[in-house]
Amino acid sequence: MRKVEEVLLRLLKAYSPTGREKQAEGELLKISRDLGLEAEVDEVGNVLMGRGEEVWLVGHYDTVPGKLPVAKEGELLKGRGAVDAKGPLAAMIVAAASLKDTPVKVAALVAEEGDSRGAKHILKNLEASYVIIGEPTNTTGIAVAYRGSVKILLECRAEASHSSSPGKSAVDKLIEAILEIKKAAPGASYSTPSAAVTLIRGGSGYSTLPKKAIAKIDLRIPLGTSSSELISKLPKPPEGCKLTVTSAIDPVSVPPSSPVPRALARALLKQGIKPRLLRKYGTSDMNLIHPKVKSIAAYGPGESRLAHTDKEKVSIKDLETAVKTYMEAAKELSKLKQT
Amino acid sequence: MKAFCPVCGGEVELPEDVMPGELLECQSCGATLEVYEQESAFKLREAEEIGEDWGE
Repeated sequence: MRKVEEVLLRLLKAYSPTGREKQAEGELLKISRDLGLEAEVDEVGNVLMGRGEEVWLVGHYDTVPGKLPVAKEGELLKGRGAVDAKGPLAAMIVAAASLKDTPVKVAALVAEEGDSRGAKHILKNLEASYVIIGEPTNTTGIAVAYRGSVKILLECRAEASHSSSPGKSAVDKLIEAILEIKKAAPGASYSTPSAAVTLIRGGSGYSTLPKKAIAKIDLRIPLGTSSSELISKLPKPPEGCKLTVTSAIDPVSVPPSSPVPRALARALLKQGIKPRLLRKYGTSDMNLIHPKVKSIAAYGPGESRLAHTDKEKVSIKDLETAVKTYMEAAKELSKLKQT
Repeated sequence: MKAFCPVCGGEVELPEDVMPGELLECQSCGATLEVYEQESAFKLREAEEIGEDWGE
């Protein structure tokens, strides 16, 4: 069995949705030991492997919830996280273990799918100059931009009364508030802010006008707009409703000539692969880490359209391409610090 | 090593170790450009448009 195939299968079998990363933490430590990499776990559960301070390969080992059967079918590996993002992480770990003369650190972070407490924690003492983020980019893509994100909690209250009575219930007010927010963030294109309702709750189903209703809304911000700018443009909620911003992350964009995207492009070109630049609709740890390092970009095996779906799968060929890409890019970046 | 931006005509500094297929931006107009080789010289053309991709 090829090394990256073995590492990914071991990680896939350790189901680790956000908040329950512990099982996979133990497996990561065993994998590190088996590959001859030093490893330690920090205070929040991030697993740091390898040596070196300047060049970091940063992935995450939490996944969205929803266990999927782990399987190898032909040349495909399937399971929750195969694409997002245990596939990229497995390739990073094998790359680091294969780089005998190039010091590189691999950081497997927790909570990337949640509140990013893993990334926020490593930022406190991060000394890296060059960071490659492990996220799926269809194996030939290099992500140079991510949109920002603002998450809000909307809470509405109203007087309870019989459902045959006139008047607005808490749910009516919530709907009104959501529709106003969607007008401010219509999401018609990449360049337009978008708003997605990710949770909605209210009422009992009995003949009573609901007196309480809540919604969680996930807004995404295009380049050229800051999170504070979007927040300032959010409509005032109707009477009886309260809007709370629970997180705010700015968009990020790096020029293609910046050292990390350049190193990734050259690594692909050396394998005869044409690199493709990508702008991601989502938000990642790259948004948080970018202000603290000299250069950063995201790269990884796997079809990004499969992320968060029940069809997550990645080919062994793509994983092997990613291993070579990470290795070649890390070698090039490590030489930069010496010049 | 210098080349010229095909969009604005501005001068673009190329790294000494540049490879055909590399992508960079024009400092004058911001266009994304691709390096190619022609008759032993490196030149620039407009790169494929940056793609949009879902998720993270």
